Amino acid sequence: MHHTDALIIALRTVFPSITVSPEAERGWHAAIALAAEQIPGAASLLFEHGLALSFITAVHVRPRCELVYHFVRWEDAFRIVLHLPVPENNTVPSIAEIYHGAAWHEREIGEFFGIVFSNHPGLKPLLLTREEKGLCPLLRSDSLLQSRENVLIW
Amino acid sequence: MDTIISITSAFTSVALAAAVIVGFVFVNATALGYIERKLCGRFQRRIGPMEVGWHGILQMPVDGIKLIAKQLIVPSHVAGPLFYVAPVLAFAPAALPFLVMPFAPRIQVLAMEAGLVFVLAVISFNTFAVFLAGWSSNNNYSMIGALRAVAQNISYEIPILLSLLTVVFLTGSFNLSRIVQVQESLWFVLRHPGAILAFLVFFIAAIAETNRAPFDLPEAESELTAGFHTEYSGIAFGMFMIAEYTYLFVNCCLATAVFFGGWWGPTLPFGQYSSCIWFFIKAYTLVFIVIWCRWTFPRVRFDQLMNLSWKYLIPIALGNLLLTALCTKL
Amino acid sequence: MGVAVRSTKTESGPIHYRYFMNVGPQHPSTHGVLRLIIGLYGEYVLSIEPVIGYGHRMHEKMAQSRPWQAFLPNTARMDYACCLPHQHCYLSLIEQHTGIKVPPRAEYIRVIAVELNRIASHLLWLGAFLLDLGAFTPILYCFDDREEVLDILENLTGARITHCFFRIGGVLADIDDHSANRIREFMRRMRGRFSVYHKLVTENIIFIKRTRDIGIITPDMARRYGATGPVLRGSGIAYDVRKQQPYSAYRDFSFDVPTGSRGDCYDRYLVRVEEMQQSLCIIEQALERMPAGEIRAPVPRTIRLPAGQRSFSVEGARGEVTYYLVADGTDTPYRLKVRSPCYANLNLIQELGQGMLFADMIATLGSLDLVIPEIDR
Repeated sequence: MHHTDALIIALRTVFPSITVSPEAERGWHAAIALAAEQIPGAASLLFEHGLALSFITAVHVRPRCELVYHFVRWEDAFRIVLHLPVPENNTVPSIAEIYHGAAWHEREIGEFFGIVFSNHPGLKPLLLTREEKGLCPLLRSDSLLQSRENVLIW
Repeated sequence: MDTIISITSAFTSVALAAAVIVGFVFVNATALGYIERKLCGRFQRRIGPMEVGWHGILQMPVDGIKLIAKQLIVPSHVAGPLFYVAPVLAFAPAALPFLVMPFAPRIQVLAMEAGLVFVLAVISFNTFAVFLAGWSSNNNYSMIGALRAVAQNISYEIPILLSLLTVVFLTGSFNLSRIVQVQESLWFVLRHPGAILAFLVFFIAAIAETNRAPFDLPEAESELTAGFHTEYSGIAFGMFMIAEYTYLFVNCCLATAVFFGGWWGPTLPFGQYSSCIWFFIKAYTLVFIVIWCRWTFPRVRFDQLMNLSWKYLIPIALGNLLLTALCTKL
Repeated sequence: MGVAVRSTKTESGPIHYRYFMNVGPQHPSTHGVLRLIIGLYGEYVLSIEPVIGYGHRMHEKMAQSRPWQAFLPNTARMDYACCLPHQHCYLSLIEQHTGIKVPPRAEYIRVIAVELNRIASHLLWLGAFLLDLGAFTPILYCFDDREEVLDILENLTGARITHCFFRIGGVLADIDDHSANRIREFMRRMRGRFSVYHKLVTENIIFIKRTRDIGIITPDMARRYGATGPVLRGSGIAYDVRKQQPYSAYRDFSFDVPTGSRGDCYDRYLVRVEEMQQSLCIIEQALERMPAGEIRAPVPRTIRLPAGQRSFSVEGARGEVTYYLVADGTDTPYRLKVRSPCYANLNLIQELGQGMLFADMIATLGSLDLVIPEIDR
């Protein structure tokens, strides 16, 4: 049923790589892998179609961190996940202008993973103290680091 | 010689009266504190203090000793002398209204002609102390509390005055014992529709005037932590509390004297003295209602409080005053 | 003297007369170690900047540094007022990921425990909210009722607040006849109590004046900040994970999702009170139709988490709780993200509080039902 959804059709024209499953097998119905510069556009598209931001998080994998955005549509709990490998300059455009709630998530990711969000209204630490700046507690040591295709399977 | 004796006896009587009144203020505040805590417990399906003495009756004296024994913590940023003066200013005048209060025909220290005016003048002094406390604390919470207190007390003094004037029109006197005597046959609140309205206005305004919930905005603890007395500790805080209870009781005494016939009640032996029992029963009943309100209602917002005074209470009291004046003239 | 006036670049307008008030981390109305830096103009709020993290314990780091079972108690230490949904979410996630089927009876017991926990949480909120509005008495009434729930939960789970009741593939203990009767007795009592609350609170003129049309959250604002739970439903959006995406045994029960119409504090209050009644409804149905059978599925002694990712959402007392797991094939999660509803709900106050009176801001903050350890994690 989701294949005929206006949102899916709109997304498919922009992101042909979208994978859609009828049931929420992994907890979400659709997943898209996109590049860093595409995220503001994707977020605007989702906002126009009435989706709310559930959360943003990051996973530290080889070669670089990967951002994971979860969105949800309230009417039918349709969930969509955006995967975004962080580029080499470690900077990702912020979506706090579109989803205001994203500002805190991005601040949190900034202090936990050291990822920089451009265009962010104020990228200062959220949960950690000033003394803990640059600690990045959720970055894994090399021995524990897995490569992307080993863990981020969908 | 006669002069010396008369001065000495006058001095003795004044000293005696002062001692009795100050003692009464402390005992009354202690009793009210205990009553409030017990009643609050009952309203909240608890039993209240039970540990110290029989049914916790010694809880308040023990708390008082604790407050006195406590170290006074004075923050470094307060405005020196004013900070110390404020609690004294709050506490000291609180005893004065009892000087003119007619508890019984023979129990009244000073039968002052303008007794009512004197009581009102002394009550409004509290505003000054509260403002001084908030201002000298040099703390934003205290400051907002103080500003609220001033605005609130100024607004609510007007309806208090207007509602009391209604009774003054009916009796033609500011003398409290005279006002009580007039009510021998029937209390004003039962006798005259204007007086009923006046009493309601007075009672609401009096709760606001004494900063009691639901009008306790100067010390609204969910917003301003403790409002104007945030920085006070130990007995300095205790003095504000005693003052608050005393002013509450003074207002209830005033309502009793002016609207509820003061000491009048079924005749008792030694009625010249013992009829003060009726006075106290009536006053404490009013105190009970005030406490009941406090533990029932949420707090109003500041603009609502102001609206209540300026948009409702003052016009009602004013209209009531005019109508009563018209009725008495006719 | 008392007020520090900070002059800013803007020469005109109220910004020029702004002063700052530090509400928290120790303040009666922040219900925990939350700090709000509030810019005020008189009593009007110009700006709010929440400062969080005082209770930060890095639960997510703990999750990825020890076997997944060891994280089970942690789930009870985020939302201390309603911890069972967190535990439910975490275990359902693990069970789904490893393909463990939970017996129906266990799911029913889970639902009953979660709904009892939800009632306890809403009662706590009700009392605390009224305390924020300056009514001292209702909190004692609420605690009186909450005590009953906590007694039942203590009997069932062994703890009063930090329940660790659910186990992989089922629950720790069965609801026997004794417990069932106690729950029924509580339901009878609680149903009679709503009229008390309505008389004491709902119909109180001061309460209505303090909450009606105060702190209006529009659906658009809720969407931009990702608000969920009663905060969202108060604004008229019937989003409840139990209904939209039924998990556990919720498909078996009929219940309503109460919504408000204006999105103000009063609507949020009504929604939560109605939710307590709906929870009672669910518990009643669950007790009636409780299937017989095992309360715990046979599970292998060591469970490895297959490589891959998965998320699971449940409806907590404050909104949508989501756990997102990335596993690498060992018994330790590679990454576990906890999405707590209060995080988004608090975020919203920055925009919502602007231009409000200070007292209204406190009322609105109270109506969001914040549990700070859940935000700080």
